[in-house]
Amino acid sequence: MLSRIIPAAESLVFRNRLLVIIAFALITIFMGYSASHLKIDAGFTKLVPMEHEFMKTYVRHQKEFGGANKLLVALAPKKGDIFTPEFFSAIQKVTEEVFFLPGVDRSRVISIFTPNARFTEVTEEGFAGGSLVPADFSPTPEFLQKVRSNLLKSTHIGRLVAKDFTAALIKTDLMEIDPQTGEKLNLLDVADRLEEIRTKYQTENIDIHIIGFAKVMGDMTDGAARVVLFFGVAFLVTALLVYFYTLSLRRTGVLLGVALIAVVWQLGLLPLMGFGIDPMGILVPFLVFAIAISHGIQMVSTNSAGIFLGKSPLEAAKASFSTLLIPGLTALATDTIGFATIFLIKIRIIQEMAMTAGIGVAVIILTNLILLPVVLSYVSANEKYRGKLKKKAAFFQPIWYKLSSVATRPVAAGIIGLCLLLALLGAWKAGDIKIGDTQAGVPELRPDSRYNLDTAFITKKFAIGLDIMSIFIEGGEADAGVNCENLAEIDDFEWFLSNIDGVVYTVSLAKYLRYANAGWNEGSPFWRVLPTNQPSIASCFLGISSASGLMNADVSVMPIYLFTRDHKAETITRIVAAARKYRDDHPVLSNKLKITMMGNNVGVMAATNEEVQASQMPILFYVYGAVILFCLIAFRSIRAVICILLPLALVSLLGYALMAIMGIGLKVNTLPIVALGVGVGVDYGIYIYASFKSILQRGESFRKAYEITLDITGNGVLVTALSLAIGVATWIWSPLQFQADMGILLTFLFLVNMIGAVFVLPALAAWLLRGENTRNEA
Amino acid sequence: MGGVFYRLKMDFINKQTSQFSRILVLVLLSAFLLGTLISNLCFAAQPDRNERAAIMMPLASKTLILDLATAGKRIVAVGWRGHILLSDDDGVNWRQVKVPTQDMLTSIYFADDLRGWAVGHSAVILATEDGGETWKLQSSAPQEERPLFDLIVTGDYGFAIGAYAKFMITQDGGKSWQPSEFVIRQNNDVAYNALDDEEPLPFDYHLNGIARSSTGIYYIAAEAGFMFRSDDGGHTWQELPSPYEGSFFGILSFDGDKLIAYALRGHIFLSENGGQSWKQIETGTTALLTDAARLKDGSIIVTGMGGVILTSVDNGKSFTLQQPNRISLTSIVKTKSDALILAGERGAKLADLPGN
Repeated sequence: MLSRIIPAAESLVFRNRLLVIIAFALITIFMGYSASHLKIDAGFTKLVPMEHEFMKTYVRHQKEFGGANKLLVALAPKKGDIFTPEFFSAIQKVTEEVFFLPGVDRSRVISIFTPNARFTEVTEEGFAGGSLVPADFSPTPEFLQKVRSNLLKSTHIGRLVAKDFTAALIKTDLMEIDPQTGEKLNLLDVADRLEEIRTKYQTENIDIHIIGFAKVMGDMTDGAARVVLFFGVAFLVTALLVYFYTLSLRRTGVLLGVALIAVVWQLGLLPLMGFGIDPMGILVPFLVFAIAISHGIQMVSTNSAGIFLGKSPLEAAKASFSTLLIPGLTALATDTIGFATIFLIKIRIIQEMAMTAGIGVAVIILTNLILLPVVLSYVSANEKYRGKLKKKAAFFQPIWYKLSSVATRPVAAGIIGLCLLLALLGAWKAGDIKIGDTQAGVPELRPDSRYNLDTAFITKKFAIGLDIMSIFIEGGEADAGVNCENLAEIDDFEWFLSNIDGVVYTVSLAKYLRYANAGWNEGSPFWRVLPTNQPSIASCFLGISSASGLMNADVSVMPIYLFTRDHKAETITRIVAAARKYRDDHPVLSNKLKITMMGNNVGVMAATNEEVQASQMPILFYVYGAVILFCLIAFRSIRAVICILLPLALVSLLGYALMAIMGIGLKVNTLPIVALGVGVGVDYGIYIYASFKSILQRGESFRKAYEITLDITGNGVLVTALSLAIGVATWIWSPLQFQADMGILLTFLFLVNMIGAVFVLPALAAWLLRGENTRNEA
Repeated sequence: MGGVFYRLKMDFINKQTSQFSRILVLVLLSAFLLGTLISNLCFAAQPDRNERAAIMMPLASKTLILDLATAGKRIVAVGWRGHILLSDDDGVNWRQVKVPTQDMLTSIYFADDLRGWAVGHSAVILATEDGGETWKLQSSAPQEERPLFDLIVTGDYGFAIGAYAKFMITQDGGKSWQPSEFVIRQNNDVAYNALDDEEPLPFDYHLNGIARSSTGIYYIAAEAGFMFRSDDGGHTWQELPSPYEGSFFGILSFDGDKLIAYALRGHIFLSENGGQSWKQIETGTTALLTDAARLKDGSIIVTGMGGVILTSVDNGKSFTLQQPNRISLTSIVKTKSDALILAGERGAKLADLPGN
């Protein structure tokens, strides 16, 4: 069947060469125009598994309890304490600026200057209290002294002002939808405005520290912009290597041009499909370029081989089209399916990456397998070029001969033995791989980035845990949280939770009421218990509103907040497991209450970790499933599958081991890398195997066949892997930690996959295929 | 339930039933009995909140403790959620013991090295006879909502005091406790539970703390500026002239007639005549003061909320304020080996105080 389709396709394409080029040109212009409309699109919900039980709970309660999208602005005098007129004027102004930022939940803005920041004290007559900063405040020494004494009576020390009075905070929540425009909140705009605030109010006396998800996205986008530079470097390195490989400026230009066209199409398709580009998804055009080059080199290589043998450019182009159509299609289809499997991870950003990478690779099928040979057919070849190729071939011939020894059985046995040893080592180390984050602060950014330094400052100065989980107690009916028995159940659960290793502190309505009850009894610790009758409980509710986050408006949902020691996966897992067990042991508390989990940033991490953990195996299963399936279809041989698959599997295993050794956790950013690595690695294997097999069928001896394969295909694989590896290695200097991690992993995967395809594949073939091949080495 | 039994029984006896139906009835009867038994067991497995035993938790020694006492060389701490903790190494290590209540315990008292009582919310009174290892619930009255705050047992007589003038007595050395009246004597006339002759209102303020002088006189610190003195071994009480309208939380008696009364908002008063006249002492704090102890060298330490530690080296004529952190302190006790243990909202530990 194939024997009829290929010539038909060949004549169809090559009879309409001009038409093909014009069509591609027109589409490219259109895609370029579309790509110019590409928007940077960052969003919180894209990064988390929205289908996870925790996320559903989180979303359900987000409106009433605020989200994980917090914003903290700290002002700190460089010298002395905060009680200076200059500082007070600054924090008042910054509070106002923050209040009017787009998307800010105005009811949740709190600083010493907002009226919701209050103090209460017990006097002989009962309670007295007021705003921390009196309404008639003016920056006189008397008023500053008054604010200090109010603060001492309040619970805000360590929360709104630093424990040692050397910094003050403004806190708020950002909403997902900007209420003024009714559209999705533009986090990058918020981040820009925050940076403006910083520039405007940071003086030689006052430092401003800003943390929050919006700022993270802003910093990440700024960092991601560096990718353009990396792309430039990668492009240059690739161009250089391709030139040394093809020895022809025109061919280099054609190859890079066609690869760029694939990138333009991929970028142009994004806005057409309603996508933007995400700081994390910026990886995809990179990969598309890389894969396009990798396949393009094979095309140019096969083409040059034709020219070398004295064919005309058109004949050579036709021949390379026909030769590479099947392996090319197989490899690209495997890539596409491989990427598509990442779609199974129910995290939007990864699904978008899967989709866009899948589309990108599909585009490459068109550009590389159709456009490239057509364009190459116009590139004339003179005797001079042939001479250059001959000289190059003569130079490399002894090298290929030496390397082809891997296809001899003794050397092959040695290589296989070494691989087994590596596999054992890899399996031993890969077991240590950690799910989730290990570092403090925001793992996407470098530990010494401005943002993470700000985080360190704020966590040091304030008794603020930035790692919070919330568990919701749902009463199912209004005023469930006013009931004595229900509150006692919440109190019991909270005490249980606070005893879990890793929980540093807890906050809940029940705890608040215990303290309020003591407050109503002159602050005596003897009364720090839940009131046991309804009138006392009712009086304790005076002075709290749903804005406190301790309950919703009708007191039917009461969260328990857990401040955790860190956000390491083992800490999170331990807490979640203990809470789940309590919930299983107490399906309903006090007959009515239900425990639902879980919100806030660590709750989101818990959900993400669980999703990553759950998808880790399925992803590998599906990617390898795709590889096996397509190799079987293309080569119709189990041996072929083994030859291509085993080196890949070894590389995947070593990749995990590398992550474990380098302390790179398995998380949203790194999970797709393994699949992507397999996707790229399989190309090498398929091309080498296909070439090797066809040369063997021509009747060459085993070693000779591999020597020729190296000359035609292996050569290209080496150049591709090298250029790709150097290209992604530039990422290691990215300001973004996750890009640096991805850079390390991809460089490793590109290089080691190449080694696997060039050395391990023939070694396996030497033992597996020899039986098939009736001829023996002379 | 009785009715069902009766009918089944009558069925069984009266009707000339066949073997089959007799077996059926027997099966039904036993099933019914089994069901009753199981439902009773289930009921027993889920007792009333007030009857639950304290839960052993790793952080019990790191959470709110309200009182400390020594039982020989051992220190015993009581606190939130019915926690009772023992330390045999001067407060370094603590071990939670089983206690038949989850109510907050507010006070603990040992009559000797082995016999002690703990009191608290739901008016629970718990007793130990082995230095705090095991505890028995002697009395409780959760429905009253009048927690007990302090107690003392001397010989056969003893009493426990609490919220809304709660007054319980024992006359058998703490083997049993009875609710009693807080009897206030005016001008040597016994005026039962009345402060004002013309319009007798029941006295229902909180009684917060007990003190006993070396001469056998008892004092009680109470809510809203009230202080009382008993010269008859704690049976009837005389109101003392009060220097303050805020609540008193305790009295420290020393050197015969000398008293230190500590109160709300950092107030301390000194009396050198058994409470007949008082002098306010400046403290420099507005924190609620919770406990006091006199050390071997004669210095006096008063603890308070917000981490307040007040020290006097001149028999209470002046105090110096220390506030190393803001962790509230509730109790201070001197051990057999003259070490000082401080307790508060983060548990109890050996105090590291200068001058001790």
